[in-house]
Amino acid sequence: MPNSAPAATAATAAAGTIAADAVDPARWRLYRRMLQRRRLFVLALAGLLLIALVLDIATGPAGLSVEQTLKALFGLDGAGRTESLILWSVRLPQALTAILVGAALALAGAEMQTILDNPLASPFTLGVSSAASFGAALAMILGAGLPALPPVWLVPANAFLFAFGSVFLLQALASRRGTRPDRLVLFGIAMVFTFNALVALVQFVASESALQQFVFWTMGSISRTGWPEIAVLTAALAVAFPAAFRARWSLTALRFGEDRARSFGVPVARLRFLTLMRVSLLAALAVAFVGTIGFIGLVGPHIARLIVGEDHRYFLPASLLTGAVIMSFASLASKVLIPGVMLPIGVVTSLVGIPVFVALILRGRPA
Amino acid sequence: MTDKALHITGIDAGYPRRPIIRNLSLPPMRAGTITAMIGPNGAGKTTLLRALAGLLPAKGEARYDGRALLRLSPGDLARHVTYMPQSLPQGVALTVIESVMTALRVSAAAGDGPDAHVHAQADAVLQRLDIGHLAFSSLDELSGGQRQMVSLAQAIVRRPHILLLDEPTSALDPRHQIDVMETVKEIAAAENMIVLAVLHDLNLALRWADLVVLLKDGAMVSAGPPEEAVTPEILAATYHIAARIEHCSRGLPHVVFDGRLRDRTATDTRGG
Ligand SMILES: Nc1ncnc2c1ncn2[C@@H]1O[C@H](COP(=O)(O)OP(=O)(O)O)[C@@H](O)[C@H]1O
Ligand SMILES: [Mg+2]
Repeated sequence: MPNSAPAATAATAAAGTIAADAVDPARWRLYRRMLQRRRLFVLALAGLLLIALVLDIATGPAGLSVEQTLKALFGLDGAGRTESLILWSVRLPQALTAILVGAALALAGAEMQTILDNPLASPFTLGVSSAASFGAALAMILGAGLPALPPVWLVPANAFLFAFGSVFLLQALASRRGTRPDRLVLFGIAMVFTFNALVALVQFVASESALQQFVFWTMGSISRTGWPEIAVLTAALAVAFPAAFRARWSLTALRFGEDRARSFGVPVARLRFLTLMRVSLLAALAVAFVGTIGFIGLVGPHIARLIVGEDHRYFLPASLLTGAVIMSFASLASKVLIPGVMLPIGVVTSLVGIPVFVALILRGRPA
Repeated sequence: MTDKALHITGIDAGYPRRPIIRNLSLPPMRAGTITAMIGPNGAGKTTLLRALAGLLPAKGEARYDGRALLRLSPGDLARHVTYMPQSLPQGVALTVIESVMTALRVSAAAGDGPDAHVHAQADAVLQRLDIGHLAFSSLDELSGGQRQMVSLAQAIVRRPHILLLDEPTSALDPRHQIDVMETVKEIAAAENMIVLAVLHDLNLALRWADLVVLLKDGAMVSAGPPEEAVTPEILAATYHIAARIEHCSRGLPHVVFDGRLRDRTATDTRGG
């Protein structure tokens, strides 16, 4: 009987239960439309990223045309050896590094903001970058670092060690009973100042050339990384993103406060611990390879939040993609802003990203 | 028969080095009924609810349907008990429907179900609480009372066996206070839910509760059917106010407040 289901629904509703056996088609359509809009935004970001990537690898001092670039990229006939070399050993590694670092920092920032319940949390504002800088400074200026490492890996390894250590410290504090998230944020800020002071101390005793090298490092650069670093970053993201995505409902529920999330059955302490592990891996690697890029981890999630809201099904991928897009355009801009000069990407990131960011804050609410 | 009840015996709960609830036992709370918990600010009402929800370490017994709730794992406890905190945080970029659906999705049971089913359940609760028109509003553009309704919807949609509500009506206008109490009572009866709600409005408690529990300084002052648990003498002793219980033209009890008690030891408030 076609009418039996709705009749049953009416009967149970009359009895006062809240069982919902039938879907109201109109309201279901509205909900679907909202989700489709969110999905569309995520897809648009992916499309934008592709465009940015193509523009980025087609731009550079060697002046290859887009056609030459694409030929070299796909190994088509007519691609010269020089073009291929430029593309495969300079442009592509840089372009991919930009994307991966942007993605890693923004994803780390998004997760940090959720578990610490603070929109100002990011690898930069919580001292991860400062700690990495200190590690790098020790290696570059004092030559101190892990023994038995090839010299090229000394700086990133040291930066990673300190960055990871700083999040670990944060973690140790978080796992103490009754430590509230806002305390963690204050602790992170204390770490920023501590490591900055230590860096200044090391700089004070540095030789002029070491100092110059270090200052350049802190500005952030994607020209130091090659395929091994890209492989490491890709692997880290390939582990961290699916893990974060699996926790999407728990993370979304945590937005309603710890008590409520726990009452919904979310194991909040474990969620915080695992999330901080992912965050430390992503942030430490990114900062270790490219230096200080402060802005992405804060702004990527903010922009994502403004366009898709905080349903982490969309918020996590949108944050990741936004970070990647901004970094990719920053990489492009670093090559074209002053012709013939490649500006430090950390500086450009802020210059490109901040106007977009401010405009969005002034306009925005989730779509 | 609805013989599933919540039995609370000898509960101790509190904060590190700060015991609040001491050796508290309450009359059984029966399935399908509403228990109103009243008491002055700082009496330990929130503390008790949080302890029952497994959010605070607690000793003693909270027995429901043969289970010792305080010894269940957090995941198991969440299947039976839902706690609605006093407030919903600010600055959350989610719509109302997303918020209510998340409350279901986050549980393993509903987490993998088809979206349509979860949506239907959330939608039914929004309609039921008469906030269906807010489904696509962002939480941040809601009034305090509307947020409270969403907060309640998040708790109700989980259809727990035991629903713990912390001041569910504090921000609501009179019409919505009545709506909420009416709806919660219907749902409790229909779903055989045990509802324990902290209320500050004594008239709401008198009117809608099946059982009233009055708490002060972490201990029970009185408990029983509304008109036995709330008397002028008891109100004078716990709140230090002069109050009368008057019956209106329909015979329903109402608390009428006459003012503060000057003499804090006085218990006879009926004056003339
Ligand atoms: N996190 C906490 N740490 C220490 N003491 C607390 C905490 N929360 C509440 N208290 C104390 O516990 C007592 C009871 O508080 P609560 O249960 O919130 O009272 P209410 O009955 O108003 O809900 C109060 O004295 C309060 O100061
Ligand atoms: Mg309270």
